[in-house]
Amino acid sequence: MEKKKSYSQTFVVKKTSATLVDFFNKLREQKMAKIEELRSKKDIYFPASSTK
Amino acid sequence: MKITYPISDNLGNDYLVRIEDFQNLPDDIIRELGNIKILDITLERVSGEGHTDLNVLSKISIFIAGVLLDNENAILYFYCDDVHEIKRRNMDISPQKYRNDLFSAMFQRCIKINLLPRYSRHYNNGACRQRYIHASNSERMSYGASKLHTCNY
Repeated sequence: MEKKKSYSQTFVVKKTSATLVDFFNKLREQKMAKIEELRSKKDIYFPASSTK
Repeated sequence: MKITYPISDNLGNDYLVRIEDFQNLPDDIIRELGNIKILDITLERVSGEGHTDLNVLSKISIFIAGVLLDNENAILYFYCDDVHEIKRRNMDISPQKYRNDLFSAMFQRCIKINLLPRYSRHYNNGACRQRYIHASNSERMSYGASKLHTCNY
């Protein structure tokens, strides 16, 4: 049986440039827009859950 | 690609998971990535106020893992937001840190049960407010993932 590999790595940015902060701000704005879009969706059918 | 996956529990909580191609990537990153695509994950509760059931978290994990398995040339991207509050026992930690920990746990669980022979990376930018971003990818895509965090920003 093939042995599966998995890794998890964390990178911490300690010294940020203005460009990076600006980029992250844009990512946040993009995320906000997507969340609002999902929240306003009315045409989604939610199947009854079988979870207990 | 744009997939929306609805999930409900039996307590009146409804959730939507959306996975779609990442929009508005800077040109230099697009050039570096070549044919690797970035898939943007959005996860949001759309009704209900109760705690999120473990079965729901499991369904979300399995769905996301399935998309990654089906898209070998993809890197999954998840921005842990602070836009809305989230129920948590320890209110000393920020919503984005909580989402970061939760997403890590969900992903690690997928690896633990051998659903994903994958690795996950997340970035933390400490400026202004804590930011957490996950980039999850197959081993084959590790070159592309390394490109993502070596871009000169």
